[in-house]
Amino acid sequence: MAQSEAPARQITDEELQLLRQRGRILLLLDAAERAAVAPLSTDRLHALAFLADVLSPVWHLPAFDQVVVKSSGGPFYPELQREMDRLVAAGLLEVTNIRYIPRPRGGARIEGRYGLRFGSKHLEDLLGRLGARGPEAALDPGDVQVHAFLVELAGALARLPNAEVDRAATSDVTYSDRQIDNNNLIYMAPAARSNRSVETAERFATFMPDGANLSPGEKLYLYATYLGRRVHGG
Amino acid sequence: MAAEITDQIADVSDADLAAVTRTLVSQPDVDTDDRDRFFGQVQTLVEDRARREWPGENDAGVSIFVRADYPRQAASALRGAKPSADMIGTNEPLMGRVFLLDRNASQGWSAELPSTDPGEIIEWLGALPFGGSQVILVYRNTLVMIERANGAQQGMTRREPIRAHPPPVTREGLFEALDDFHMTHVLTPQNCPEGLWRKGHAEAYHAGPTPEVSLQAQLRTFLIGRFRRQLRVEREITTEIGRIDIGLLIPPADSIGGLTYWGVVELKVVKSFRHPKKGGDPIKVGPLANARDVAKGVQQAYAFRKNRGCACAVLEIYDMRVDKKVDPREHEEVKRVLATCTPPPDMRLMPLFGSAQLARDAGYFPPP
Repeated sequence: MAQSEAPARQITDEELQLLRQRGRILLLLDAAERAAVAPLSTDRLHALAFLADVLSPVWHLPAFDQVVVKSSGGPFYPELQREMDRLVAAGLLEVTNIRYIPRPRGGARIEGRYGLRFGSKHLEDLLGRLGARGPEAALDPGDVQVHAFLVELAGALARLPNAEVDRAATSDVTYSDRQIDNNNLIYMAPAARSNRSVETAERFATFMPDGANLSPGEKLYLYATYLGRRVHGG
Repeated sequence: MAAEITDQIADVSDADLAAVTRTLVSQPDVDTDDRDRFFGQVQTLVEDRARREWPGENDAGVSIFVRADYPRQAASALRGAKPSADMIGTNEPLMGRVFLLDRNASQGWSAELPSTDPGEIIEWLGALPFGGSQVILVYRNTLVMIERANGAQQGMTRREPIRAHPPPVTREGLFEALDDFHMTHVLTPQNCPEGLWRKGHAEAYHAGPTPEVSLQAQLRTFLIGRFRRQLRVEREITTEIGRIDIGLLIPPADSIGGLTYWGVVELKVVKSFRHPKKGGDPIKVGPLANARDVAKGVQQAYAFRKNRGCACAVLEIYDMRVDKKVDPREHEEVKRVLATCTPPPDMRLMPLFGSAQLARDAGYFPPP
């Protein structure tokens, strides 16, 4: 007699979004590990996530998060943070240097340094499915491009001195736009305003002679170098 | 889709953007593979130290650089490893240490070497979990870099001098670079790029499927290493008169604006046999076809120099013919074109040989 099978449960949009968020965190940290800047502080991980969102069109990719709240302390994605902590609990990430940072109006937030937990039995397989091991292992071959972009971006930012990396996101052309006040939303797409960071990265081509080209990777390195100058008011 | 290039951007200085664009000559070569990128970045780092007379170093004379996909994970196998950051911007001593770095050789971990003897160091490296990774050994006393791309205990894949002085960016400096490239990268099939010769048939002088493309890619990588921090080397520049093989861009002397053209290197191959596109036997190439190729190269190099305002234009002709007695530059087809180009571009004929023995017979010594 054939056993009756339980009907497969449809994954909800909300669950799918959480899974995507976790995948994004693993890829961001994979990129940071490859650039040798992990473990990453909470602030730097959120900064990397923001710069990846705002610069993704340079690599012809869509932004992961369409919107972020501008705050004086730098970009912060609450969902990303929540899922980071869940990945720690799942044994895929490790967190060190945990500190409680008091908030100005009471309470505290947790700050730590996050990295991949290489001892996890599941990490290698997951990274492969997320596109970090080439198209053969990837669930979606398009994710290989996302991974390549994040690795190049992390590498470009890693070349900045520490003091500049800390302020790279808040010095970003979009984030520091004076027409957007703190506590207001910065939209990536659909663009309420044009993406000024991408416009800046594309504008480097203006300073190349006729016929010469810049690759997307070169634009990221130039933009990161430019952020370093902006940090110093240049 | 990437945004269109717009007019000046509010709160963004064009002068700053131009200054940043000029740093392209010092940025990592992101459009090559990780192996070449890492080698180039380590070369930049050690040549910078050599030019500053090795600040902060003690008596140690060997340094090891290992490219690690995950430097932090690799470092967990090294006793006493500590983070090394911003390698190019600091005076952190290099000698007597092993560095596990990212592909930009910019960040990672380092530890003291357990020995000063290169043989013992290689044996020690080979036993570590990252022993199969790309390794570069740097010898300060002899100013040499040795690459073992397939692991510490595998064979040498590259040997480059550490130049304590930057090469001159002059016509003569370019010729010297092209001469070195000829001797060390293409003279014989033993050291030439894939695709230049038909596999297993170099001795019969059968050209491979992509001789020009293979030469172009290898020469670009070579020139980037040679003129790093001075020139940007670009391949396949599209112009109204065709595609230029190698363009050389330079930051302007007055530091105003972005990069400008300094030179162009057009590559042509003259051959006895070309690779058949649809299989079968190689096809004979006669002197007229070779001469027409050379004449086309003359026109391209000349026209590009003229309309881009280059200081230097070179047509580098690689001679893959069995019989090299007749100079293709003397052919009437070439002379006719040369008469229309004033001043004509520099034109150099560089012989390639189907074996090291044939090179020796012709008076060349095989490269070290």
